[in-house]
Amino acid sequence: MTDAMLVNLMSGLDLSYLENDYLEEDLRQNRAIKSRKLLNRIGGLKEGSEFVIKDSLQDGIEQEIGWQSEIQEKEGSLYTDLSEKLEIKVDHVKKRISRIRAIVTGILTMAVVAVSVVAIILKKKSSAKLLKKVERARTPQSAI
Amino acid sequence: MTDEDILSLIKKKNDLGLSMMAEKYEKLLVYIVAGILGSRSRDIEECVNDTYLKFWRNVDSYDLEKASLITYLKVIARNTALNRLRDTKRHEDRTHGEDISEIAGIYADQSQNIENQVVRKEDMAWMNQMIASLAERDRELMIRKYFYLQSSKVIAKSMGMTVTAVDSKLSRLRTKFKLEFSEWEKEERR
Repeated sequence: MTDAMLVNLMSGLDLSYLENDYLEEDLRQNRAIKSRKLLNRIGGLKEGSEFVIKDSLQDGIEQEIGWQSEIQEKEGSLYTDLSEKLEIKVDHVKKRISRIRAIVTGILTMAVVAVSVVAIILKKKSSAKLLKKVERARTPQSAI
Repeated sequence: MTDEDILSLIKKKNDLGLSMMAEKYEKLLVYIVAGILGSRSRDIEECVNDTYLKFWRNVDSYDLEKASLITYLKVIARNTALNRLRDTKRHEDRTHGEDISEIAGIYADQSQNIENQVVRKEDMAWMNQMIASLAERDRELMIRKYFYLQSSKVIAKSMGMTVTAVDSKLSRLRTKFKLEFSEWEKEERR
């Protein structure tokens, strides 16, 4: 276990162990000498001064708000586009289905008609054959 | 203005909440970040700004019943500063000057090793148990050293100890943690 691992492990420190004022006490007792110099250097807050949001932070916040509205707008228009496209696709599909249905119905009808015609023809043929047989059967008797 | 008021304003995306939060806590955040990054003013300012921005973006996930506003800010500031320290070392590969604490320097160097970056949830749970088992003063030492990355000099001044006493105590605690951790790892692997 190295020091770096200990530092990384501390990232998971339970928040309750940070509910103390170790560092606040440092500042109160002016123990943070380095930080006072730093505060002066970066123009930190002095007692009674007003906090002004720095430009870089303001930009970050506005950018964030801008991104969020852009995303919402895009999502909105994306949704509209998608639903329109979907409706068009559904219409196409519906039309195709009805065409196919018409074709299949037509084919089936023709098939039924054809089969009926064939059946009629076959029936006539077989009736004609039967009649001929009957006539032949009658004719030999008369010859005698 | 109370923390509840500040949080409520920020949840409504009102800039005033951010201003109030900064007025109340900026000094502390600068102190935390400076302890890790040294005296690089620009890095510190950007880091503190990033802390505010991260808080602003994730404000809905913070619950004041679980922890106070400043505790959340401490964690964000600390982790943001550490990431910056690691990235600075990775990209610039420069030797850190004397202005950062020795532990921050060690962390910046050692964190480039992947092995040192892998931390499991179980390991963190073990760490919390170990911290809980420590006496209050030892706990404060470990947190100042390994959470806030304070130098032994700063810790000594803050806790009214000598630097030698701080180093000696930390050395014993480190040895204890290492031994306990290897015992615990052996148990885990069984």
